[in-house]
Amino acid sequence: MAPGDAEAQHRWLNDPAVARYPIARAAVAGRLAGAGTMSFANPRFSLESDGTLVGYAVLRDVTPESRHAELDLLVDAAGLVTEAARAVCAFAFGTVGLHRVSVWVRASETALLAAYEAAGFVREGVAKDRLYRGGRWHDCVLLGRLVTDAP
Amino acid sequence: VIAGERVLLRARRESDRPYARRWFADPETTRWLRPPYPRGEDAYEVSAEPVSFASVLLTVDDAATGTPIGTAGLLDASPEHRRARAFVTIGDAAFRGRGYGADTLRTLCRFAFESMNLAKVELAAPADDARAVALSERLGFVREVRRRGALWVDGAWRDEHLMGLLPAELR
Repeated sequence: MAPGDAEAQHRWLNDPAVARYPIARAAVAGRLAGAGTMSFANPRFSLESDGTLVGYAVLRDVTPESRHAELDLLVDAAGLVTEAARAVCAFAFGTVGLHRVSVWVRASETALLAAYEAAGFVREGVAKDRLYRGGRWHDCVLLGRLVTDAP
Repeated sequence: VIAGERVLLRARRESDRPYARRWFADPETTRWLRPPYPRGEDAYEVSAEPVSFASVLLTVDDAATGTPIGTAGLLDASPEHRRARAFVTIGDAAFRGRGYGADTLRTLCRFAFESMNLAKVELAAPADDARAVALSERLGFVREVRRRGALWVDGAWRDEHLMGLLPAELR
């Protein structure tokens, strides 16, 4: 991620479907400036497709003993989720040395669930009423992919 | 003080530290705890801040004698999603297997719903920790997610259950 990504990130993060609270451009820029260099504890990417910024991916809560991370993935263009998730997993397993990557998806988002499954993620269960958004509770599915899972 | 049937949950104090040192020196207590490193007295977090929504860190007393027997709390409480993650450790071996853990967890969940206005309590239990899984299920927790290979314990990858409890389910 780079400071130049602030404009696009600011636009995505102010989409009510993505983030709860509106966020100022300066706050996004400040966060990017303070993002620091990539490391085991801090793997984060901006995603480009054909030279255009289309999203970002962050591997959160990386722990060295369990070698696990939780994926935050935001992609602006439909149809790129599978490819982006595959690329992030390849880096997470091959370069960072992780054993497991997981991601939460709303149970109602069937296309998104299918996109992650196409990238090798497995549904590990449904957590009831885990998220409150738009005036109601949403069930959430946790999907996990292990380095030993079939690609 | 939050009163259960046989336990009292209260704010931690400095004088709990010698007890905590003994609890966390017992391999039976620490087997499933992550991270896996030995803890000194200083590792028992006694905050100068009052207990609050964002940080419910408590000591469990045996109600009959006032002896500290373990630790319990609610972490990562989210005000929007009204959900938090519970943990309970009965560190004093003399109080294990006698219902103190169940009374502690039930009292903690009741407090979460009735006082903190939470709508869900979650709990992470290693799939191989049969006692923790059975205890939480007895109280009404449901195994919602099986996080495959999420824990590295005793030289092997192990699954972890993410258990969930809604207010109407608490027994």
